[in-house]
Amino acid sequence: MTERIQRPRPQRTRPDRNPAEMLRAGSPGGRGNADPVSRSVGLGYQIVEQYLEQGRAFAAGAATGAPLPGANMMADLTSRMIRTTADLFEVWFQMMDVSGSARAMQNERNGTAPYAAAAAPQAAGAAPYAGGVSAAAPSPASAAPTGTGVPSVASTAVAVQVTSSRPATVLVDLRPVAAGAGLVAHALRNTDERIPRITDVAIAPSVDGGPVTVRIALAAELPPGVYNGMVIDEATSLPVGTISVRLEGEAASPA
Amino acid sequence: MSAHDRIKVAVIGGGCAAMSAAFELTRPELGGRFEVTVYQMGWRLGGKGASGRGPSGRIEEHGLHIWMGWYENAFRLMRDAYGELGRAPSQPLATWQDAFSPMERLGVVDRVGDDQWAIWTAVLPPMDGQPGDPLPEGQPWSVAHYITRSVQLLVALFQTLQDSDSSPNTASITAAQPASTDTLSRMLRYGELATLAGMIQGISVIGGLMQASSPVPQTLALEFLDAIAANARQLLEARLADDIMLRRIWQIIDVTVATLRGMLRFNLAADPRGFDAIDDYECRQWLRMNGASDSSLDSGYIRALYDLAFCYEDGDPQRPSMSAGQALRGTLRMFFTYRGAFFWRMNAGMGDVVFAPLYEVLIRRGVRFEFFHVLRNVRLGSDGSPHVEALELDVQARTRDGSAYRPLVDVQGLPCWPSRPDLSQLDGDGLGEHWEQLESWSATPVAARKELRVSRDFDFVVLGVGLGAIPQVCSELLAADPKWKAMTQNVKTVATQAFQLWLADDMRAWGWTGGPVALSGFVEPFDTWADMSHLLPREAWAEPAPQSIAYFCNVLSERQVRENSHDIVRTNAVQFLEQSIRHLWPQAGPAGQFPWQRLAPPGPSGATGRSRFDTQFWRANTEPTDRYVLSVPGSSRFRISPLDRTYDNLTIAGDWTACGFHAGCVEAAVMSGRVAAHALCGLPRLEDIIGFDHP
Amino acid sequence: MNEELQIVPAVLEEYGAVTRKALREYLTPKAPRRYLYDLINDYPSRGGRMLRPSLCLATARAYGAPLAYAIHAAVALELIHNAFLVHDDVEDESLERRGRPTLPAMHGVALSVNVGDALAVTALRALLDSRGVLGHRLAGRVVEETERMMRESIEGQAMDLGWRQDNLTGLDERDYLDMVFRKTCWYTTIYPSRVGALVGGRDSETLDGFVRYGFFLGAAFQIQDDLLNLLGDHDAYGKELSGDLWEGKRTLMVIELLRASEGEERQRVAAILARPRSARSRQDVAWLRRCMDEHGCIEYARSVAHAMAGAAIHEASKIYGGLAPSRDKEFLEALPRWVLARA
Repeated sequence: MTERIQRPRPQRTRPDRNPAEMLRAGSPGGRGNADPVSRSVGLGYQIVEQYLEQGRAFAAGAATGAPLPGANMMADLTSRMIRTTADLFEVWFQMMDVSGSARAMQNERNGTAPYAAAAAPQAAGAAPYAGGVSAAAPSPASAAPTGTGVPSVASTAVAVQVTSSRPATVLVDLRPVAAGAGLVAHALRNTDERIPRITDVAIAPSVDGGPVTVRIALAAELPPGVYNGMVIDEATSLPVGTISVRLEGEAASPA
Repeated sequence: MSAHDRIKVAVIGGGCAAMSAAFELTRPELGGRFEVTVYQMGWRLGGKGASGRGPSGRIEEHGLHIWMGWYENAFRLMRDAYGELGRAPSQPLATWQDAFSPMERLGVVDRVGDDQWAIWTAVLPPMDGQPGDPLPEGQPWSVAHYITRSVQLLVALFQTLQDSDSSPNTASITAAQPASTDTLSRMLRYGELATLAGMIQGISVIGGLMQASSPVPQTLALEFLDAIAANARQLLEARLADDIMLRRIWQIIDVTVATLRGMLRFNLAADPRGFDAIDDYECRQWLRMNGASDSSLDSGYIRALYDLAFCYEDGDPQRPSMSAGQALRGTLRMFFTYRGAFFWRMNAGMGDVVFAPLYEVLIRRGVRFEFFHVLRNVRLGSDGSPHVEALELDVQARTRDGSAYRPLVDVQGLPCWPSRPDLSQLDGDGLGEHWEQLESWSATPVAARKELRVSRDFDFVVLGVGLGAIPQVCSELLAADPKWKAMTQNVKTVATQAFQLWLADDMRAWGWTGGPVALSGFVEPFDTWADMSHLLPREAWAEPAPQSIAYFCNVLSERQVRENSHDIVRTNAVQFLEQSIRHLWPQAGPAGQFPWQRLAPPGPSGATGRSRFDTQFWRANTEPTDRYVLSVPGSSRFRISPLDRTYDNLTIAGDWTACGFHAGCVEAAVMSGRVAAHALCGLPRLEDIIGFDHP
Repeated sequence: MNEELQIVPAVLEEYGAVTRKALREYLTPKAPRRYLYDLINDYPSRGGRMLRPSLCLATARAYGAPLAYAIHAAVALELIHNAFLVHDDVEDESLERRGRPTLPAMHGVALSVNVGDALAVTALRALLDSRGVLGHRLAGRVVEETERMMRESIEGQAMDLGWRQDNLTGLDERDYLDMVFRKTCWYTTIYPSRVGALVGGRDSETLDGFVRYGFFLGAAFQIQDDLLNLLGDHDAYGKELSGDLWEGKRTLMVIELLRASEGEERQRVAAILARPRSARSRQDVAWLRRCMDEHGCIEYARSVAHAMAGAAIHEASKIYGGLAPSRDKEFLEALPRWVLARA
């Protein structure tokens, strides 16, 4: 009897639905370009999901007598989740540019910028969960969180000064092009239309390469919550950034 | 390479998937490694995409086929085929650009009252490039990317809201373009647009907050999305009741917000399963879970999406059923990744445009075609690792001189498939009466039986038959392998019905002034209509020639899948024309008085009244291989991949396999064929099968 | 500590007390006291945060179950935890546990192993007793969960010990997380959550979400623990260096150091790790520590711990998001942050 010809063994047997195709060329075992945060979370999900999948396969196998999935599943999964969190970063960066030009967005996507910029808040020592600078009023706080991923442009330094009787977290995002421009801030609004806006917001432009200063005064009667507003470049009327305030504590009664 | 070394591949079936596999396996760069034989039931290739030329050279299709601008693999295949075919420029359909034309206008129909319908047509702008072009650097299809695009769409929709007053009947969905910053800042400056500005702020601020990667802002993002939806509703509510245009835009905003919300809530950007993570949810249910309102879910826009993919279980209009994961994958690709045009129409029958060129190219490459061969049983080997030992086939007919059957005919200089077999080539006299049964599984004539044996007649098998036929031809596989059994039980199919009209006058005379269109979401039993008048020059009519052509299609209820389905479809069509078509074509007479005399018969006909419909063309697609493959919730995991190597000499191809895109369409079929080829020879690389790794 | 995290120590104290009280009933000294029952009581009486039993009780309560439903599992878990500690100390040749000499250091390996066994058997007793409250079926499910948890933990411990024994230096972060998943997370966080949900009436629900939450929470916990081990001593004693480094434990910082170092430096790192504990000098350990600083290994581990906690918060929102507000729910949601905040 002649030897039958058999199909080659496939390297993988299913789609690799990891949304982050771009980095797959990177070394699968190494750290690649991804930052430790996304990498570790990705690895973590891999391990858990693979474990759960094995459990299900085992349960199904116990019923049907089918063999357990092979060990190559490990290798198969390894490349998948590495950039999950970084991907999220990318989304938010691109969302930031919704009002900007599509061209700029394209450029960003082609570079490694989103990851570098995403790591910036950490480097600046920002609290990991507030995602910004916690300014325990009334003492003024300053920091330089940045909002865009254009690698060749230095981050816009921002100083934030908050006047408030209660704790507040302030997050300022400014595109680097905004560094020297005449900026105006819109009133910060809550999603609830009935709540008064924060109107006392001023932006002082950078002087001699110093930081752009954002001054915000929070009235004692304001209810706790999140208030957001846009920063507009006066010359072009284009939005160049956002300000977000998270106000804690109870509002003082008007009396 | 000597003939002895070549690997013999039996390709079963001649539809898109099987042809795609044959095409890949015989690419010149493989140096003739594979010796491919295609076994096809009846006299023509094409499967569900087969078409034929009937009287007056008219094109008779299985159903309505429109290609979409994101069919990257399918267009690549056709572009390669036309390139290799190298027709002279003077020949009809010489190039793929001649064969396919962009179609920009699509329509949906909204129910606005009892027996009242409002039509909404829109033009989707042409996008960069052509389908099948090399993809730009970097894989653009991440969930992240789609979130961004959805946000852009939202902004664009708000912009449309502003501009909508001036154009009550048509709206340009500028889905693919980022909002103009001018408009944005204009809106921001006007005090009365504060709420709109607030929404856009909200969208941007989400971006700012989420940069920090912390999960806390995700809830904020969701809060914002809720606020945007609530604000938009507030802004529009007063005017929604009497302004249908506003209502439509609101509905799309509502669904888009729900989609965004769902993508964030279900963390789809980080899920290694991609959209399969929500495969268990029914699409409408999932959207409802994420805040979409019932009125939006019953909008023409959503119903059109269901109609496009025939998403009705058992063909029952009351049971729309589509996997949320696949629906999202399909919709996002459809709206956000098309190139050239949103829709592409074929400039002849699908058989002529797709399968005749493929047939000619494959013949040149040395592929053998065995027409009139029906697979009856896939026999498994009993020794060694699991494999296919033999293929048992019925030979329906033989040629008189034993040479290969020549299937094509010439219509206006174009090689085409005929609607009937060429009996003059065939042996046996009994066929004349029963030629139609050559495409019937249950009633086909049998001239002989044939057994193909492993190693002797084939080394590998590409099983490319339709899913409906699998239980019959793979009973051994089903009995031996729970995976196969589960697949046939869980991946559903549905019967379909279609009819075509040749009309004596142009569409304006019927009251349709909206230009050539493909339109969905209409009343049952035929919810989809396409104006196909562009095909007239390809047909061979004597004067007076018809002035327009209309195709209709829909699912066919399981209750109507019977012996006499053909008659039932006729009844459905007649009733539809008498009762419903007037909503689309106001000049088609009052209810019950369809102007039958304005139908154009292919040749002299004295038929009047309803019986004149019999001169037109209609089909009930109820044969197992005719049935359309659905994407019901929770079924993805039961699909089997062409890469599955449980049987070491078998692979599968079809839009029912786990080919990366789990819905019935040309693109899925072509993808599956490419994956099947990869399973046999490692080429094309999976990375080059566009969309295989799509989330 | 952040105000919203104050709930964690408060709940730990409350549920810790409940657990200790129930625990005492199973640890009543009897003969042979000197060689067994006095020793059994030693580790449980040394205190501890009672994180595991509290997590179990809080989860059950968050799902609306009375404490009585979960107390047996909580006690069993604490007993198993102590059994693991005893055996760990034997396996690691550790000298100190919670500021006092370890059992093997005081009583020798043989008696200590036996004490560990006795603690595990007592845990089994507690689980059997839960039948009275839970009924046979549910109690049986809890026993299944316990068997699985112990198996996972033992497998994880085997990986850890094996790596050290064979001095594997090609390990990557994935291997590390896999080991932590089994060795730490399963019994520290996954099991308590799953059992809490189980007795809280959630047998019908899939318990997969708790594996995710538990894994990320446990991983954050373990990495932070290892960081504290590395840095805490340093701060407290100025010169005294990490016990983990002395033991050659494969922490994330060590794995990162192995990854980041090259050439001669890497060889020296590997060589030091390969030595038996007794052959590692103070100089070796100090050098390792310095290398870690140079390569940013500590910062790296810290950011990974934060990422893990972030993922845990996300997973918590998925599984607990639908529950009615309660103190227990707040506790569960605050845990990931607290894990990082604790010193």
